[in-house]
Amino acid sequence: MAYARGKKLPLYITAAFLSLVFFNYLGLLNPLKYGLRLLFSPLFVEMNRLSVKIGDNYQFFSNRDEFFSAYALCQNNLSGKNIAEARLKILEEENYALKKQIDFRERAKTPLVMANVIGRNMGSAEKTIVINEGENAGIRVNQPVVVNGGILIGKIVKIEKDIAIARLINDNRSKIAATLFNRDRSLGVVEGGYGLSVRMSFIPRNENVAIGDQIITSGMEDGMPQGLVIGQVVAVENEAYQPFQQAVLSPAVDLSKLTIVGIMTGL
Amino acid sequence: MKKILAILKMSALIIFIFILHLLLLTLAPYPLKHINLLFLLMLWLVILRPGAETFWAAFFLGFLLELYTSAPFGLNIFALLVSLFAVSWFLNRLFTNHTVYIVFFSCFIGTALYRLTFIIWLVIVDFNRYNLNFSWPEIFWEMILEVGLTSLTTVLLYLVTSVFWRRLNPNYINEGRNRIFL
Repeated sequence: MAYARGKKLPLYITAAFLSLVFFNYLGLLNPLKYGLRLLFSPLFVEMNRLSVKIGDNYQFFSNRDEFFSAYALCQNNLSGKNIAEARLKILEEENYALKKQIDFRERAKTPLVMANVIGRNMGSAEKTIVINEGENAGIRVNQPVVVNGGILIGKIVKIEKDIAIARLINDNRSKIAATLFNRDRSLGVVEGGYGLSVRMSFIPRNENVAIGDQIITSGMEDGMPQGLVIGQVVAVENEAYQPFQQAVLSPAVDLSKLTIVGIMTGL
Repeated sequence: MKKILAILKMSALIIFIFILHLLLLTLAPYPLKHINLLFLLMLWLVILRPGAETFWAAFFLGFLLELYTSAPFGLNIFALLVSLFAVSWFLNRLFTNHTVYIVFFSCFIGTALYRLTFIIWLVIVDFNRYNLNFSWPEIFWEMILEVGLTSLTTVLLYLVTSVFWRRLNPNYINEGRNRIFL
């Protein structure tokens, strides 16, 4: 069988590749890239919605016990949430009354650019999402990406005129300065575990970390506000031979079911 | 006219492979989403239509991937072409028959090379930029999943198609040889 033997083929392809990289560097490919994205984006939005819809219909349990314990945990969480909701209402009323008394002027909110998720990572090497707003909407690299008003899901890593790419918190290369809602208000770094897990590391060993503790951003990094919810602790690893302990987190939202996100611009 | 038709056909094929790859990535459950359908189909093309047009198709397919990735521009094209050229070289110089083992081995080497090229380049770029620690066990676990599942899917596809496609079935060559020499 005659396989591609042409000696000039690699040469031509290398030349084309180098020209492409060079033209991209000069920005000459932007109209072509913009046109192609315009062509594919509606399809990607629909595909993403479909995947979220399908993903909502199944969840895997390895055995019957696991299913029942997950159900019991849901019931517990629900009753806990009802109590928390009642407390929240009381606090809301108190807050309203106090604000009125001291003539509190609400701070201007951080501008939020809303965007549709039009795609996900193109390979298994990264956990990213592609959104349909970019530099034209005021989005810049390193700005936080949130859902539901205050749950952090990632940071912008790449922008173009019409799209942006956000690295999710479960990506291997994601690092976020965070703090734990425990007695010590422990500080650490939330890192992604290649899409398989999210961990908070560099927590001093003498500080108490409990399952269920909430984790928020500490605000100790450039462009990241304090208080964005990241998730809660589901396991703690405190080994005697290691200088720090680490906590495994469950993100506050399902990172595989994102359709609309907000980007905190103007930070 | 014939050339224009061929270009149109190849463009349609590139878009079809791209959309199919995205469909699998978006809709397939874990661990099936680790199958690198794009590489699998390109390898298939290298086996069936080992001409220059296949490599140009890979070039344009890589460009489409570049539109939606956070990796540095050019990395997808580079990794795809390097691995396909390597597979083509292997098929041309070393593994010159089409047994199922050869198809498995070609896919295994090709996918591993594709992913390794990608990871090595990312490590070089990121190490210079951020000096980050990579979580190697998880990276290699994902790579093993991708390489293993893609190779197994290729073999399955090969076994199914070789029943219907004479060109892929080396038994016909043996039959022909026996008829001539024995």
